[in-house]
Amino acid sequence: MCQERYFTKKHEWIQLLDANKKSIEVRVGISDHAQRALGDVVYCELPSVGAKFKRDDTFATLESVKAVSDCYMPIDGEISDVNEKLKSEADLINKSPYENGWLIQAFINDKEKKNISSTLMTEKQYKQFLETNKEAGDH
Amino acid sequence: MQAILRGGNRVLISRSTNVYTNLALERYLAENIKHEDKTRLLILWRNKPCVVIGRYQNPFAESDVSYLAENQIDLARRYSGGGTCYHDLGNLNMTILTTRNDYNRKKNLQWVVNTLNQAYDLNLHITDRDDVFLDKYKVTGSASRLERLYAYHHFTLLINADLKYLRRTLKSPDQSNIQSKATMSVRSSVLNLSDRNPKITYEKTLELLIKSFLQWNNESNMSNYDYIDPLLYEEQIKNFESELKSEKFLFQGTPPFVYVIKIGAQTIEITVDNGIITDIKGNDSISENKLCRGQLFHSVHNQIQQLKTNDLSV
Repeated sequence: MCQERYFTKKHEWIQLLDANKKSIEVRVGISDHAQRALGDVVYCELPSVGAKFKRDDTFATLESVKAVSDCYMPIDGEISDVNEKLKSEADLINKSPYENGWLIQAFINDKEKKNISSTLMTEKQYKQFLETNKEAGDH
Repeated sequence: MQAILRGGNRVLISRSTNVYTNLALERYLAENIKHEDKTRLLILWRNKPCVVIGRYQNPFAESDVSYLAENQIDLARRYSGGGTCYHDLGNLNMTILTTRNDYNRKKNLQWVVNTLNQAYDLNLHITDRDDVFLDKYKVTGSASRLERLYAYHHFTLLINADLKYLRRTLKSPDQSNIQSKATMSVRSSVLNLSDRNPKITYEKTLELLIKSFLQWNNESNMSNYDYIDPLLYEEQIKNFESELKSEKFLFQGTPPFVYVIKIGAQTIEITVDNGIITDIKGNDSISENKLCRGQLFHSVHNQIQQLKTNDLSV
């Protein structure tokens, strides 16, 4: 059973995985809004297991419709697993952004675990955020 | 120094014609300029003959790497996505740099198309791949890079480039040998604008676009454009320049691939990860074989090409 997702303003989601082990592990991906904005993902560059990142660091890069975009860490963490399926099926990110199209898993510490709920948006808050930030007018 | 990094609607024209310098300058400006909402920076630049591949492409699948080396044509991998193009002084590069929120490729291309159609009496149109075509010929290719605080959309414009060289350099002898998930170019027939209207020159187009860009962005000051000599910013851009010139970025930045050679009934498969040969199958019967795991693919590329042409039963 997985827990609820939290969202960043840059449209990444993070989810706590069940802690059966000593360490706290999370899963990170991009939201449905993000994958639609990107278009078909044709290539995904993922980090190595063991790489350490701070919040807001670029941990992965996606190429879609000739645009290269970075994905940013929602919190500090150390990569524990990457979604190998994306190497041959990068468009899983489009087809299933919350399930099969997850990007990475990372070990985090207790402090960061608390940061998730205090600094990031719940799904409901994220939906509201999307509403209020719809593309503004012309220039 | 600080003046170059101010935000707002502006035009900068690079004095350099070195592709690595220009790509480094572009990235430096993108990362350091104080971007303001609802404003655009236009960078105009051109390069002496070179081939530029997209961030996740395979240079061997996209161009004739040996031919480039033999003819001193630079090969560069850019930071944005998309396909491969040939640049020379007859090709104008444009970069439109904005905040991430203001990124809009279609608007940028619409501006260019309207400007050129009006001034030169042409019939350019934008495709859904964000290319610009004149009839069935491609004249512009687009690519982008989106970061947290900024985004840029850059595109080429064929004014009077050497199309013979273009076709020659982009013809890869290895294309059918490579199996990979790298981004593949979508090839099109191309045309120079000057082929359709001989009055169109690089200088005229530059002048036209500067004026039009400032008008589009409601800039009353028509002299709000500057020439920039990247040599003056050598310190600031040298890290990006080194990266762009490095074999590591150029060749080892290639997504994993398998290079397959079929000779008669024999098949040799060379697996390459991060530019390094990690496995070779089917080469036991080659007597003169010098290939082995751990070698950098680009260093042995010539030998691999020879394997394709030599008689294996020697």
